[in-house]
Amino acid sequence: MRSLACVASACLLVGSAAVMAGETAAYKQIGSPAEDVLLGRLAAPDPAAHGAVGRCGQVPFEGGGGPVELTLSVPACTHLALVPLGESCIDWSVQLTDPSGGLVELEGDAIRHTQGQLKPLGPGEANRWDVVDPAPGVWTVTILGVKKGQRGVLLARDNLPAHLRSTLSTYQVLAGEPIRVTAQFESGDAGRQAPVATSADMSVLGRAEPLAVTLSGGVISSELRLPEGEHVVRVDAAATDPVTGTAVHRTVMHMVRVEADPPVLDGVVTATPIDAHRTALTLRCSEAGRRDRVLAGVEVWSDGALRCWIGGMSSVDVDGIHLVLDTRWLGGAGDDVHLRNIRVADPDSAITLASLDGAALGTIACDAAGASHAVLRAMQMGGGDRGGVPLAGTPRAIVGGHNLMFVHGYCSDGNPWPTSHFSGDLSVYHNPDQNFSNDTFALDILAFGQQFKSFSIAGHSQGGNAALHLYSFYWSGLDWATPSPQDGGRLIQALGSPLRGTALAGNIAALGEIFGIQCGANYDMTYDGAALWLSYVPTWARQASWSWTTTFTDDWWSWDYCHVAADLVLDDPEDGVVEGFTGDISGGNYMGLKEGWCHIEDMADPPQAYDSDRNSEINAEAAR
Amino acid sequence: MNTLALFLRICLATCLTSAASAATWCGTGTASIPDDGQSSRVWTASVDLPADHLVVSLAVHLDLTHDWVGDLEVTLVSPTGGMVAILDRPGMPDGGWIGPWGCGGDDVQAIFRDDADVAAEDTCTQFDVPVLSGSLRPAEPLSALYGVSAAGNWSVVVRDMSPIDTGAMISACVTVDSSPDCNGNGVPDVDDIDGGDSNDEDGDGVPDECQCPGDMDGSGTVGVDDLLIVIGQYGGPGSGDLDGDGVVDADDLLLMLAAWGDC
Repeated sequence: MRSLACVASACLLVGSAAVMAGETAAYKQIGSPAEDVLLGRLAAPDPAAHGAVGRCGQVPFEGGGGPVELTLSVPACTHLALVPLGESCIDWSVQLTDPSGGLVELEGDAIRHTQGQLKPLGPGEANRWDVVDPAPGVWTVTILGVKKGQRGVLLARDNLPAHLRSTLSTYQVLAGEPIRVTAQFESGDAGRQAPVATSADMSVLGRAEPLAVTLSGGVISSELRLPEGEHVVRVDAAATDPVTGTAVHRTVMHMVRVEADPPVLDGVVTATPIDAHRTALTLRCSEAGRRDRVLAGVEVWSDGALRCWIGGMSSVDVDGIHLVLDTRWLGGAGDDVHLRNIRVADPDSAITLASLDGAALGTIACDAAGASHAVLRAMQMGGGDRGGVPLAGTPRAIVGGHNLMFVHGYCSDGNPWPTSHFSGDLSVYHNPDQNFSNDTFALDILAFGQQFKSFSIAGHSQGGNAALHLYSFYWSGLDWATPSPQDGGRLIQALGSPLRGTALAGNIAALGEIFGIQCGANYDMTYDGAALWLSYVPTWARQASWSWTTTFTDDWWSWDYCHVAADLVLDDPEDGVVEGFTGDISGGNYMGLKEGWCHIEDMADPPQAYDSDRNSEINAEAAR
Repeated sequence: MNTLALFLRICLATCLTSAASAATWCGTGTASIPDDGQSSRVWTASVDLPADHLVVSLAVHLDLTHDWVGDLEVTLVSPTGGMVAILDRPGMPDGGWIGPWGCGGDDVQAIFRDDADVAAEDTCTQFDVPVLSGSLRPAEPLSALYGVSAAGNWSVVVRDMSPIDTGAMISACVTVDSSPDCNGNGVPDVDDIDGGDSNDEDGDGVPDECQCPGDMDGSGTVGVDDLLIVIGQYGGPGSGDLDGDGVVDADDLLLMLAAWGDC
């Protein structure tokens, strides 16, 4: 669907993918200086530093025809929030019994009852009860109105600064191969000891039998083998707060993506000159696997020094995985060339499919780099002539033009930006209610963008991630937008984008069991997925992005939030979907956190995309 | 006629230079390129070369501004109506990394010739302005126009095939190297002689069939007046040395007698 409307000073085009038959998205052959590795931007992420974080307890239940009675361990704290979630949960009510056995009055200064929309976690609304200064001990929550057989979950979050982090032993997560999931409590306050786990359960959602768990020194662990696909590992743990001696309960939903049929590297790398400055490198495979492209990255060393990192989307065929080295990165030092830390990943999930510590190449003819923009850009992005992926889409009308393109996010019902805040030629990417990987999302944007000569992107939520992915790995109208990033033009302006992931991602996957599929799980927006993805995004692409995050108005006299339930899952400050820190990526242009705005409409504060001050800036600074 | 057109017409006349076998003409003066994909900016000039000269070599120098050179079609039109594409929307249709709209770089300042190492259609970059510069191979070989008459009206036609981005012509120069074709066989005389299709007894570069040996006074007839000139040079060098052996002698007289009468 496409329509063109010219209003006031702006021409606005709204539409979805628009591609002529046979068009392809050409891969960039990424080159990046050694600093990108040394700063950790293009280094393999440490699984122990990411994983998933549980900040609340999650108690699942199933209606039996009568009241549902649940127990909670509440530590010594000053606040407890309770949100029972399930289909039509707005119709439920609760009774609270404190550790002394007394029924708690639900009206009054000690308890606040609010309601809010569940979108994007589920349909409808939910109730929330905030309890001030709850007595430590075991509480009983009785939920009334749950139908027989109806499933739900009680979210319970106290304000003890402690969370449960679950991590993987490796990011090379392949079907049938063993991985270890490890979880332990961490303190959110540097000056306070973390609770120590005393008991734990671990399970994979959708499987009846729990996992065998070991618990030693507060570390919860289990080894498991999973089939290909996305899985949610649920870790539920009790601990003792060493400061107060009271019991703490946390649950973490850890989404684990498992890949299959990887290419198998045999350790041989061949080099074939392409032209005066470029050499084709082929990572030979004993088995090519089923993918015709992968995300690859290698460090290039010569004469004993790290020279650069090369990678990006790469073609795979029977000969192996194909990369391109611009030999000007070697600075004239062409002896003892070898590759280190070779990584090959799935293009959608960035899960590592294969890896090698190193491979030798020998001597390569090379010369020093020139200093011009054109030379540097050629070294960074390559010639775009070594493969691509076909674009799906429908025939388009030729439109042309140089636009600011608005891109909505994951599972969105449409454009969140008020186009009346903007001027000049505008276009609106519109493909609602989708759950795309960053890669699929980027290619869909590119398909739509093919009708324009050039564009920059104002991306909301995952739309910002997808824009950064597009600019990093494929040639598009972003590359022709002016002013260029070197001249101060902003190619990617991301608002509320989970560039470093969001704690909500795994929980959305888990809530799918309660609310139905909705838009489904999205691995790229988990902490793990985002860390893996970012580890292939070079600095020159990060520098082309500007990002903002927002949070709710935080009044001192009340318990504030953007989203009635997501608030229990996310770390403050947050906008109801993403946390504030997530917009701040190393090498990018983080524009800060602004209070008083939430992720989308129907949250406690206005939707962040309605901020006319920011929109004015985006409009003025956008390359086109 | 508008001022620009008048200026161009004057300039075309005054900028024209000619030599025995080469001529260069230029159209200069900034003129916007219509952005409608239909009409065009055209420079035309009558090249001052003899009517019997054929084109043996061409070079086209273009100087223009444009925000998106992938929009442009530039065509060279010969006096006989032959056309060669100098630019054919560079970067299109196989966009690859460039994308479906062709090369998005700015401006052209380049000389187009067949012996250039780099093809204009393959030289797009993002940061070089002008994006097309130096010596470039045209979209189609200029040699397609070799062998046609060099004299007459030559034109450079510029079209902007895509809306939005615009530009202007600053100058277009065409250098025509030509060679005479005195026998009118469509092959330059020098090629006729080198290929053995024509004799050049006196080695003056003109096929013998185009010459009248013995017509010393250029009257169109070999007669007594011519004979007297040759006799006057007898025994020494001179224009009467018809066989080119360095001396006017009996052999030259015999050649003259053989050609006696009207040429």
